[in-house]
Amino acid sequence: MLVARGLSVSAGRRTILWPTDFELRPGEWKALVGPNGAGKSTLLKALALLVPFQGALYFMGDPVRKVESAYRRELGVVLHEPLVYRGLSAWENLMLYADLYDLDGAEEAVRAQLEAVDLATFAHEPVGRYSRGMLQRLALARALLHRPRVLLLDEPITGIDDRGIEDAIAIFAAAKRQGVSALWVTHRWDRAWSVVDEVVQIKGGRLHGSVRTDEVEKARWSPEHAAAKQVGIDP
Amino acid sequence: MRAVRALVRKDVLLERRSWETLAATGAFAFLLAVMFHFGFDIQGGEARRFFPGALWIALLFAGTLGLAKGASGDDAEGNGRGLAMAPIDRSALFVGKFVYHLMLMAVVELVVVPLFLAAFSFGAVAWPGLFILGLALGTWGFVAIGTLMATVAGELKGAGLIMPIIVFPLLVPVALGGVAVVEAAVLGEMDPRTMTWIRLLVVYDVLFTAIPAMLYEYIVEA
Repeated sequence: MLVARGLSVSAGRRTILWPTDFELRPGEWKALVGPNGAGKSTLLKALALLVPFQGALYFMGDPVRKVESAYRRELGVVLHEPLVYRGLSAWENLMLYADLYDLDGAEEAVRAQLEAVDLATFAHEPVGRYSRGMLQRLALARALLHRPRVLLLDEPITGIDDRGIEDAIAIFAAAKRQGVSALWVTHRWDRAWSVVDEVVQIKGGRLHGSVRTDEVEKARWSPEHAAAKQVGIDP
Repeated sequence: MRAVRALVRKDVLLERRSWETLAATGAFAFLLAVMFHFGFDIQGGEARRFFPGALWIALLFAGTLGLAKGASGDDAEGNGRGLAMAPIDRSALFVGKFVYHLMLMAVVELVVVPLFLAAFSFGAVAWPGLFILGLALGTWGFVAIGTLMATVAGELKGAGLIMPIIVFPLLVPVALGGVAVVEAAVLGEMDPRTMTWIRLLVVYDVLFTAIPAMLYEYIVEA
């Protein structure tokens, strides 16, 4: 579904992401883990076309440059910032995005998303009054509103309380059952474990191996495990 | 069209709730009117000659303040990225902001023009139709250039400081044309040069609306 070949990102002379091959199959969920400054968010932003990059990116077999609008239509992105206007209500924010994505039945879709993230009660409150967790829920609703086929999630459950995390994971699991693919950037790979198919490690702007979640026990997995596996050691 | 409508509605709603831009722009223009009134003791015919330049100085200064704020509003909360990710033609982003800025300037002018007419107290404008045409053409050009330059400045550090420096050189033809047409309307003296200025303003307006709309994608991505 989404294939990157030799994808790299530089800022001036400094390389933030070294040439990277990455693939996301239909319905596949991958977690991307690594320390601060490893290049996790940069890879995600490159896939979201938010930073200039070198290399090739293909969506459904076509170069993204050729099908850019269709690709954007199929992307749902959660970044560190919720990308919502604090002076508008949740309803107004989502209606704005519904119009930008040219959604049919916009009001129905917005109502359903607000209920899914448990914000229906606060739908007409100015977003500026929301807590961090509520903003994050709204960011999830915004990303899922247009029913994207690919989700790019940068720490999507940060700031959300335990119940909210369970709700978010249930939403993700439902999206996965519907064939949605995702890249989930996280420090808390244990939270993502129940949903993702593979955990990929990144360090110093380079991918450092991965593990399939169905191959290893959650308790045994660690970044060292992934690194050992990559060089052929059975951990 | 749906995207443009949504973008304009968003900006209007945000302004209606905060009144930040209109309050700052209107207050600045009001202060300029007061300063011109008390700073220059001009009466009668002299006031008529002085009025067009003073009015355009106030509109351009106050308008630049408003445009810089209007363009930076999306980026201040990172929302520029949200808009950039949407599958819409990039020109819709320019047109949406351009229409909103035009509405903003129209409201500012509804307040500022009567204020200046009162401050200069020379009676009625000789040719109101030409006066409105001069204001409309000048405002259109100013908003088109200002919207484009506010986007460029928004990508740079110290956008608020840089905006006037990069926008005013491009505004010279608009300012000269606007002053010339408004002066002809106020004095009731139309000469061939007035028509030349009107034509120049139309060409300038069309160019600076069409070119940014076509190139906005590259400007946003740069």
